[in-house]
Amino acid sequence: MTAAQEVHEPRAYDIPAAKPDMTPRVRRLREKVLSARPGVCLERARAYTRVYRENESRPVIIRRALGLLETLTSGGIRIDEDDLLVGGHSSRLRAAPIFPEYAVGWILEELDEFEKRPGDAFYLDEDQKAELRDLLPWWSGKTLVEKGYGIMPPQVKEVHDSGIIRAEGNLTSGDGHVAIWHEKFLALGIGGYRRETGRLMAGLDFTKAEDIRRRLFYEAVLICLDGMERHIGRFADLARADAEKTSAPKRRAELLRIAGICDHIKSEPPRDFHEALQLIWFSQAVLQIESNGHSLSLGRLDQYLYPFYLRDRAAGRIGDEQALELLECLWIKLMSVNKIRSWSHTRFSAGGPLYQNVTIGGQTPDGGDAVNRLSYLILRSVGETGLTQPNLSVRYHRRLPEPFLMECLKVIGKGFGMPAFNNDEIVIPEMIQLGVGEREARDYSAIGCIEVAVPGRWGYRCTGMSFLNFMRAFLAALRDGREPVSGKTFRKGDGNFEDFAGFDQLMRAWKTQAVFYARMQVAVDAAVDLAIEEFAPDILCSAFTDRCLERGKTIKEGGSKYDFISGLQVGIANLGNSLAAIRKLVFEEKRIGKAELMAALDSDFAGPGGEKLRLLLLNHAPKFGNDDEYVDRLAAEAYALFIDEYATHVTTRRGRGPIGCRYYAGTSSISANVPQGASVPATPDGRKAWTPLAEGCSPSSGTDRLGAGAVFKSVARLPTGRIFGGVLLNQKLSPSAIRTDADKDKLGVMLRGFFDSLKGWHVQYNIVDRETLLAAQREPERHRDLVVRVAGYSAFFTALSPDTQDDIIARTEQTL
Amino acid sequence: MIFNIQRCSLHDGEGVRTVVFMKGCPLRCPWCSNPEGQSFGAELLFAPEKCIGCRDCMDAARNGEIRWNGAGPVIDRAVVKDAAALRRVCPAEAMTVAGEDRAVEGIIAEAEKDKVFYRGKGGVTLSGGEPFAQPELALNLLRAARERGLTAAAETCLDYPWENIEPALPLLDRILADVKHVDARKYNSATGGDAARALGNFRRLAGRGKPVAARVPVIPGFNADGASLAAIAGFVADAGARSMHLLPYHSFGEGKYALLGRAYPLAGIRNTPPESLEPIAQELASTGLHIIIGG
Repeated sequence: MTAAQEVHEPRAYDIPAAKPDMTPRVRRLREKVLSARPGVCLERARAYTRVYRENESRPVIIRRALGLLETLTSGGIRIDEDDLLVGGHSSRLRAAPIFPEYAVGWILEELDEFEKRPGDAFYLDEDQKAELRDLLPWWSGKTLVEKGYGIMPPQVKEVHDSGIIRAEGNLTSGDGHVAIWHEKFLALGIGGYRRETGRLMAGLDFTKAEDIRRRLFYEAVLICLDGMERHIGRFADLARADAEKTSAPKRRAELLRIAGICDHIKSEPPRDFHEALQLIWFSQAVLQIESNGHSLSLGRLDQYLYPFYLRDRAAGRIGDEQALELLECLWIKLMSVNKIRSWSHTRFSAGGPLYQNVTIGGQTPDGGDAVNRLSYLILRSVGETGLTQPNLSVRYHRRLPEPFLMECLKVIGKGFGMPAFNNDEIVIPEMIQLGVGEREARDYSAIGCIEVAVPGRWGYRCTGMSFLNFMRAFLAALRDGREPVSGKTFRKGDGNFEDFAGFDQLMRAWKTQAVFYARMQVAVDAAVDLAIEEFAPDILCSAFTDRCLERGKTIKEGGSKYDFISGLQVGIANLGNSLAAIRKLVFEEKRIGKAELMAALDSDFAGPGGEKLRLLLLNHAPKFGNDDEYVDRLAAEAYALFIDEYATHVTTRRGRGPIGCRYYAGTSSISANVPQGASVPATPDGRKAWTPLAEGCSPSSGTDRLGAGAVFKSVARLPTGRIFGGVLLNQKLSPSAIRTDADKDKLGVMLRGFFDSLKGWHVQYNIVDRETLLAAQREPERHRDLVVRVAGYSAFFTALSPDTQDDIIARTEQTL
Repeated sequence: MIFNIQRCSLHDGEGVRTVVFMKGCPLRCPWCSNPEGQSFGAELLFAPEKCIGCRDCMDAARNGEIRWNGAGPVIDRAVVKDAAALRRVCPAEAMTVAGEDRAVEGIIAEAEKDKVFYRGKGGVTLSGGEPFAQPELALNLLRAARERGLTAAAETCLDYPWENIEPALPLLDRILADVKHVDARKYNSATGGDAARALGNFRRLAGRGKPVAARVPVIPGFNADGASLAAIAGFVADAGARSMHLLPYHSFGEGKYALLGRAYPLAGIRNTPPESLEPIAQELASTGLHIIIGG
């Protein structure tokens, strides 16, 4: 039982009153982070390069630990004049650290292009460019991406290189997609982990090879913990020095308080709300210096922070205004984190998202309602700052209090895409099916966007492995296995579509390709996992994840208690729509000939009759998202053919400790639908060549005509329980649709219908009208803080590239 | 005949509604946002900018309803007898058909697809057009809804003989009844209807004890002035209804007039922002009515 449950009785709290708005301090901090130009910080690259060069003979894991230690103890630190929480991801707001051990080639190649990007630009000065040109070449041949491609079997690499499967982001930036066990972390403090590591180390037996290996892990953990402690200690010293310099008594007191907090939490567990938040932020920042993987999530903040909050509140030490202000300071700190990706990876993750998820609501391990007073404060504070970080998720369940749901809808009504909902009613039972203990299943949180895991007890990437382009595989099924873009036949097919006698033959041909690409997706991910395990192990993140210390293993070596992962499949609605159009128009109604269809696809519907044929495919066949079983079942069936194969495979951790070690499907494919669509020729759903695919599990843009309810019904027909990597549904509502409280009330009723009866996985909303988006395209300067939901995350609209902006504008707006 | 089934509407009665739009209306309100629902037969809608010039509609039109003018089809609306024959002919959906004879079973089956969202409150709403202009279909739909345990509401102008309306009342859980104006001269000349009949029916209806909400489309130049709205509210309260919805004028239906080859009578009048009705709504609340903007 967690501390949160001991003190929490359902509704044993008053709902906090809305306070006017952000404090002047928060406003200033927010403005500062919003106006900070994205750049890079070289301190990490400098430190890691020096350490790696000087310690070439030492094991990778020790070099990585020393690199972190060096960065944390040598980097420039500062405290901004308004800071209540201190520390940063790098030396400057929104300056992304460089991670040379993962990849350097793209950095050198794109160095002069960063500021010219159509979206997600980064600004580097000439000195920085010169230093990078000096630092990075040493890494050539030593980076993870190169080692990873070296490990990949040639046949697999060939498929990967064709772009049908993409795993680039995993090799150029590491894992992420994980949450540490914050509850334990706050209970033990850094010193507690140090003692536990020391104790385990003392019990090793060096006659055993595995214990020699374990010792290296423990040594690395101790180095990293030392780095963290010294890093925090530096902030204590700095705060004291700054306090000396300031003449304002109020600020001086704040700085001395900060110094006291840092002195204490550098090794001891936090004692109050402020200390706990400060330690959470330090771990969040440091873990993102250790690894460049995004979606490092904070888990169930309203649960593990609640005891601290309650204690302070009972003692009269904290009021709503202070709690909100501290939370808002944390959101702004999360917003200061930045990550630079290669341009090709950026297009999959448009808008520079870090996906630092915070999850609230849901159930207690006993199955009671977990909403508490702090849940409201978190919701309100995220609504007030209205930034893209954190990525806020609410766990829905049947007994979620109505006032809380209404409060969620009010924040959604602000239009920045948060909170998103995950549904306990499907996640928990399915998790138990997977083999997760009941109490732990009830303790799950969202990770990154919409995927779920039990925080601190689950390995990396409950989703977010490689991306598979379903439509390129589907087009290969029509051409005896020949994939039209690469011109290669990776898997011989079942003949050419022109010769297919009936629809069943098409489904068989799809199955052949689906099975093959399912295996390829696993193969790509297995190679990537082996490479990361060997060449870029994460130490601290492993130490803070359950069973790693006990087993003396990193997560990638099989340290975590649970291990389930998923890649993403892109183009679900296009697949269903293409099958339905062919079945109806070619085989049933015979309005389109087989050869005629193939010629139209090959020519992108050019020539006489091409456009007419495209419109027939588009308008005269059922489309996913309209509550039409004809097409919905085809989409579900075709996806299931893939999953049947995919789910039989196991991860590289099988037999090494974790429970599970299995794959499941996933659709939280972020903004990949745009770049993936850009590589797909014309498809039989009437989609023109190179245009975006459907996003996540959402309908193809403009094809859902019956409103939000019909979309819910269609999405619910997918095999949700087997798509544990997330069933991503974006709904765009016009602001007028939920103007009044009565409207919000009814939207809540629809949500409950979707979640309780249809067992939907997730939904998130964009509440912004077309005119606003068009205006923001015309006048980006005036819409700098316009935040929209891209996929499983929100981003600043004006930071997106024009093609992703257009994709969002094109999504169907439901008026209700 | 119906011309649309709108799924999951949040604005046409209690809870989440499935709205069945029935074709044909006795009135011709110039602000009507569903002009394709006014006539009692199927009608062709044509969007020339979507036409790709494939001439499939020419081939399907057997009575000379469609001529070709070189660039695209021209509909001779006087000649169109069987618009339904052109349904789902146009690949581009440039030409579509408003109006379809559908069996009661099929309509209710469509509504039942929304059942998971009703959650005890929502249900079917008959709208139009004017539902009571097709009393038999209306009754059959309401009976079928009742059999399946769905709640039922109707949106009506009430400008029809009471005999058409009355039999449906026991089957309705809620009625959303228009009170467009209490000034008979203005009402009759703007809508072509009979104010005495509509208002008389409203009094009868309100006297029945059913939940009745008066719906007032607030139209600039017709009834948007304070005196008109106050008079309407006075009438509604006096008749015994409890709530009144002010529906801000919008021109969202304008595009459909063009599709029907008709001019939009209120072209140039700007949409009324819902917030702008708040002051008058507060004043009208003094009548004791529950005033809702939108609804």
